[in-house]
Amino acid sequence: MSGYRLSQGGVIDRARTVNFKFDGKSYAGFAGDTLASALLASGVKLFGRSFKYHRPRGVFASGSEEPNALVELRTGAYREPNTRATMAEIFEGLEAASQNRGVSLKYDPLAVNNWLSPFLVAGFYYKTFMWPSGFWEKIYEPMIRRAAGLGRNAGMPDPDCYEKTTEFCDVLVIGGGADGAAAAIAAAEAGQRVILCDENAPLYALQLPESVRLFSRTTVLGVYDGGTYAALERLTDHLPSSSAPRQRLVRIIAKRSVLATGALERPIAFGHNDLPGVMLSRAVGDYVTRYGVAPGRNVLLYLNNDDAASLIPTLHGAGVKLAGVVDARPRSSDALYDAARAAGAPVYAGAAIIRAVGAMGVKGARIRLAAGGELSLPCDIIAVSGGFNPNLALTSHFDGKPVWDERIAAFVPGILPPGMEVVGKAAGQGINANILPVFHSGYVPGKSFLDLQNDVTVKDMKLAEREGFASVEHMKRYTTLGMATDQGKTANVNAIGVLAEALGRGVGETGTTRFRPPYVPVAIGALAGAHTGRYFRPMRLTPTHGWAKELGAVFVETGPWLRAQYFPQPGEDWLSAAQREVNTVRLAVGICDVTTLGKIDIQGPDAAVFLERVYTNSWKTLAIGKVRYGLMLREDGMVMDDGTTARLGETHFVMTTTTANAGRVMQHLEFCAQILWPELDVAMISVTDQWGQIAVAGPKSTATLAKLVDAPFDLSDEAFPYMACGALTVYGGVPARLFRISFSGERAYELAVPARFAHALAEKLMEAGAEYGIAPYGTEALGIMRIEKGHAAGPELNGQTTAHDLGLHKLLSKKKDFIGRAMAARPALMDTQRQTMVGLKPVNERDVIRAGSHLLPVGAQAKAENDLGHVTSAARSPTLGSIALALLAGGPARMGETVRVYDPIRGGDFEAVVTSPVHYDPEGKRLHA
Amino acid sequence: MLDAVVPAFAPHPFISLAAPRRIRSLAAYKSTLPALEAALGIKLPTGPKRVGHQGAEILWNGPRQWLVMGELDLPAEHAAVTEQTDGLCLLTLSGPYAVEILKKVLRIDIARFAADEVAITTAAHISVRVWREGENFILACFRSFGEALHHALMQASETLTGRG
Amino acid sequence: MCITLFNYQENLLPAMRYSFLSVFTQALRGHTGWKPAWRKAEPAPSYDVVIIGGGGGGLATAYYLAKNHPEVGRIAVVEKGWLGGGNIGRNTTIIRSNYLLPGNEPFYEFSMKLWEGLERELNYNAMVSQRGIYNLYHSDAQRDAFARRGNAMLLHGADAQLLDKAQLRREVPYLNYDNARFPVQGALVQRRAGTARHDAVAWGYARGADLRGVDLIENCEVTRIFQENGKVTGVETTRGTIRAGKVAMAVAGSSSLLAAKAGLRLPIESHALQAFVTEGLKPLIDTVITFGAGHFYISQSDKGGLVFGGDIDGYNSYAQRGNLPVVEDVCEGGMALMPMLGRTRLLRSWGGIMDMSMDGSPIIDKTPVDNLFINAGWCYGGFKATPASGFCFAHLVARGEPHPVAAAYRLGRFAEGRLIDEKGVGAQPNLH
Repeated sequence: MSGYRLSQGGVIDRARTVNFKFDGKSYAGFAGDTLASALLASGVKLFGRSFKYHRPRGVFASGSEEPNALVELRTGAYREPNTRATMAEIFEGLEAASQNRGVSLKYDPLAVNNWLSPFLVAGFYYKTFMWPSGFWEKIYEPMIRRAAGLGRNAGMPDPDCYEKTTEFCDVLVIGGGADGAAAAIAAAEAGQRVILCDENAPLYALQLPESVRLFSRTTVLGVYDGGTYAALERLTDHLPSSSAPRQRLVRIIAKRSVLATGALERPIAFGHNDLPGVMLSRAVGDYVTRYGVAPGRNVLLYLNNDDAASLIPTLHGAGVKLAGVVDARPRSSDALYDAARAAGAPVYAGAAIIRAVGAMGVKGARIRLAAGGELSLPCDIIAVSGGFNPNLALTSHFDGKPVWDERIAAFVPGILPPGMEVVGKAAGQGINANILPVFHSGYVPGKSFLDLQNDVTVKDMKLAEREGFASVEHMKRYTTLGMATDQGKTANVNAIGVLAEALGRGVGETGTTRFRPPYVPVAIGALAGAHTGRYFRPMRLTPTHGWAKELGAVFVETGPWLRAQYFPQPGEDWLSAAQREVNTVRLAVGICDVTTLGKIDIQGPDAAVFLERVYTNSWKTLAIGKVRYGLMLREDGMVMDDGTTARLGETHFVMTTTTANAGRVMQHLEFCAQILWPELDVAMISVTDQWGQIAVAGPKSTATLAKLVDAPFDLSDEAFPYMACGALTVYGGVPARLFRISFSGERAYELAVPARFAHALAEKLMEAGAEYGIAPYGTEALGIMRIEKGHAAGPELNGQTTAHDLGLHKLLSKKKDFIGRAMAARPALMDTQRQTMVGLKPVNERDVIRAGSHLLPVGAQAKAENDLGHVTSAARSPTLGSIALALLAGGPARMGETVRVYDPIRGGDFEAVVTSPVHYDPEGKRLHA
Repeated sequence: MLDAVVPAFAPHPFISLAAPRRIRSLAAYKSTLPALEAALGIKLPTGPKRVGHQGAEILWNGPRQWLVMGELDLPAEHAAVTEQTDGLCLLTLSGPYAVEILKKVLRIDIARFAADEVAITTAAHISVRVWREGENFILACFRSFGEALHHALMQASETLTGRG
Repeated sequence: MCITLFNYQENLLPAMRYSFLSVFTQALRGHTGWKPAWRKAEPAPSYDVVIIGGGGGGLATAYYLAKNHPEVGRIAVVEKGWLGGGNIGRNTTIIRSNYLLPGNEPFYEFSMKLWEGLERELNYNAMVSQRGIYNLYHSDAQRDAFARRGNAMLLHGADAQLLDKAQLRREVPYLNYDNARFPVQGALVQRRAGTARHDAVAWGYARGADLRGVDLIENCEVTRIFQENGKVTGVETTRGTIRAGKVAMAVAGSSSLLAAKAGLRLPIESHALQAFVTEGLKPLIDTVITFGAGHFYISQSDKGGLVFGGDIDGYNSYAQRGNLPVVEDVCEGGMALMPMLGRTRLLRSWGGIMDMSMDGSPIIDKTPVDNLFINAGWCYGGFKATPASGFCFAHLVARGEPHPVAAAYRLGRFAEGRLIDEKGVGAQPNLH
């Protein structure tokens, strides 16, 4: 006894046959069929095995609330687990497979779980698996994990692409049924911008005015703040293949919304109500009217309300035999009796189905009659209706709790999210006529399922109550009811009803658990859209990027930027390249793009005052044409950033920041200007991208630059000494700025030109310096040199260090207030035993110090209480060998001492001498060399 | 003179580099705003709007801050004037699908974007300014993000449905 | 024979002991013999100690007070809703002791050791699964920062390992190694870290506390805190007035609201954090992984769902829900790291209230009001601390002195500059 295709009826396209496979077997259906309807039409009853007990399962519903018929759709990297067969539109060549079974669906070895089910009740795993103590992780847990889950992820990168978009409207109508269409039309006629989202494929043509924007195959997933709704549009899931995006996340911002999502049917629980063939009554009707499929040949209808009686004439009209009507109410309505008589079906009022009979599918039902006594009725489909639940999940995303309406024995929306109204069945109108609230047929022998997907039964409610998990949230967590992929859509209300009964409380008082987005599960790929792989986040390129690429640079990510790390010549690795670049700079001249360091243009009559307040040191006295190093603290007194600021005019400064902190400093300065001191006449703007900036460093830097600088600019040391700056032109009129500053410690400059000229400038500098053996250098060489010179950078400016820690306390002016001054004076921050910056050199030349090593006293035990600090930066200098900067407790007092450099995680353990952080040219003579 | 390198993008029916123009930042000081407006002869926008003035375009760019596009005399004694021509990359979106493409990267109501509006927002995780020029839209980002913004727009234009 | 064994088991403890044998024998009786996991106690007029908050912190404190310090006398936990309904009822279940700073690491390692013995301690399967955690790094600087942290862990007696790319690729092959915006270069690994079943932790502590005589009072919200001469004397609740010798506050995200009832203003901001779970899948990810170049971390629960999360939403909120931009941000991070996630479906999102402190580290201390104690400031990292938090808070409440491993968690540390700032972002709670 199984399903078959009706000779007429349905809105499928009988002219278009579609061939597909399920579990390796070929079938045919029609365009417009779902996988479920096509398989039912082909007589398939068995669709899957349940999660815990591995019981045979068939199709239960016809929409997205389907709990049982979950399949793996498509193959290979396209395989998608846990797909509802009721929502999968078939296409030519579709391949699907059942899940969570052993070798085959029919013969599933784990069905033994069913026999073990008395032991596998809710919460059993909390009470056991504890002995022997090692077994949980090695044996029990892996077993549980292998049995858990339903479908398999393909384990390969998702080959599809997804996209995201944003739409605005005045009214968002959710649900394209009669109520939704009516609301959309009314709003459009009132001149509003309307969007209508409907979950289903456009099988029925909706008569909508053109101004209503219809999104079919689109499910609204969640309600968020600011009138924001998340929706998922399925673009190509119903096609064999496509290069177009598979799905689209649509963010809809609506002034108001109309929820017209209708109502979802709930069953009545009875013994073995999970057998293939037990279905929601409206689903049975759907298969007949929408898909032209009779799910079986002999249908028994079990109901407690008048709405479900509409199935009687539907089946009769389609020529499907009705075995009978079991009405839980003491008396059915006249209309029901008439329809049943016309269909030749007996009506058993005041009765209940105690259990379904059958092994792999329904063969009959055992009924308890009103007068007492029982009856067995043969049938192959039990269409069950316990009433309808307004589909109100979206009303509750802001935690507005649904309210139990006694009159219709259903939860209706409570407090709604701002701007939302609910219409039609979703509001509880026109449903559950003459309903008698019945949630289960009683505590009958055998399993009465409430949550089909997680295998939670009526008896589990009693168990939860017995163990004190009486609140509905506790019950949910203890039994896992409602936590499966269907989120309990056909289970929750019945479970609440059973629990309420067990507790002797009202259903309304017991209440629901919290509803949360997404309304239906949504592919993670759709939420990511195009921001995957290399496009996860945007990349920032320097203006000399192309030039560096031509020279074979290897690049490194520095925050969002891509910077040249080193320029290897044939046969070189990163270290030999970097060391050669360092030597070239120290002996001749090198160039390096330093555009990425933040550049902030600060102007105004109060610009100097502003700088006085944000920097720790003095600025009013800085002469025009001079540059000064600046130290900036956070409000809490820790070092935020450092940089150099140049005075280009009386009221004009250009501040530089580290690359990493450019954004943070800009934000901080804006906060100070707008919020803290709005009275100051000062303005600032980023010029990081406006100017391409190139460092020219080395003893031959002046000579190299001299070839580019236009007369009459005087590049001599007298006219342009260390820490000078100025505006000029280069190479025949290109506007430029020159700063004589040095990160490397050599005679050096930074030359800035408008970004469009930076590439050409780099080429010209290379030409100009060719006779001196000029070479480009990257961030590795930059790093080696700044460590040689003991300049603090990112690893030292880690947000946990003070000016004192970095040996920069002399820059803390005593004559003025500045941001961070007060908090920096907190007692613990003034402790002389704090870890302060020093240099390190290994005792043995062959040892290589690594950043991240910790420091211990020599001979002390390697324990935390002996920890003296850590190595912050380390380099392998071509001239000095292994050198490092470190933060060491009581650092400056320990010059010349030996410490243990302890790096167990990489296997290092040797001694080093504490030195000044300035390893190279401590007197700074090279600046003028 | 040095050669200038400008971003080069493959020809595309809807997405192109905007016509080059001079761009400067104009930021008034609190106490000099009236004098600045008097000198310019215009009431500067106090919210996200664009105004034309003497052949140039002035776009609001923040509190007491504007971007000036074109050659206009700016009185540096009343305000901070800073070159931004090289600091920004401007892309033009044109054609019948412009709105559809922009909806995929912007979270503002671009379909209702007025001719004199300016938006300071993000597109594909990149900070942008948006405004209209005639039928077209302009997106401006930091120059260093230019390739990334262009790629995001190209990707958004690969699948077009014509749904407005 | 079975019956004899069963009775023998019964005599070990006054109430039902959980074991395979008990499950087996109860199954034979149709599971009708189970007793409630804890009593539904009625509030008494007075207690020696009232713990406000029936979440992980409060329940663990109650348990350890009753077990380690029975001399304190009668103890009650008052919970405004249902037990374990706060952050303990919904979190990403990660346990680890891979902290950097000396103020933190001993505490979390102490907690780790308590996790390792928890099932035996509580006779409740908390499903502690030490499947390891991989903190991925994507640059040399990040590698060195992780080496610093790993070395600190080793110095504190915890376990740590640093893997390079080749080693990592052998152990975790499904990451995006070849087409990434921020290529993975390696990972800091703690093998003993992992996950635990959060509900079981709450229920296990509740049951254990209840067995030792603690009254667990649900649906009992504190509306006032009474003081006399600078000393706490009791609380007013929705179920009556309760006098108390000592009051201990452990309400996480609601700490500011509760402390205000005692006239205290805490250095804490409440923020929204979202977390997510997918549909159940067959085993896919057998460890915990954190992305080093974006806000994303993930593991797989024993029910098969992938549990993942990212950063806080960034604005102050008590709403227990977040917004779409973070959902997208987290999924972008997930896809960037593991492109195989594309067809896996997000099943449910949820949100909680995070008590963010001024340095990202917790506060377990006395307050200016005598006999009023505070346990708060856990930010989004409280779950892994649950055992040590309860243990140490109990010690403080009973003895009036902090436990040595929690000695740094003082309220006064901010004024002194003795910060425990792992991330180095300063006094801005939403950055921690």
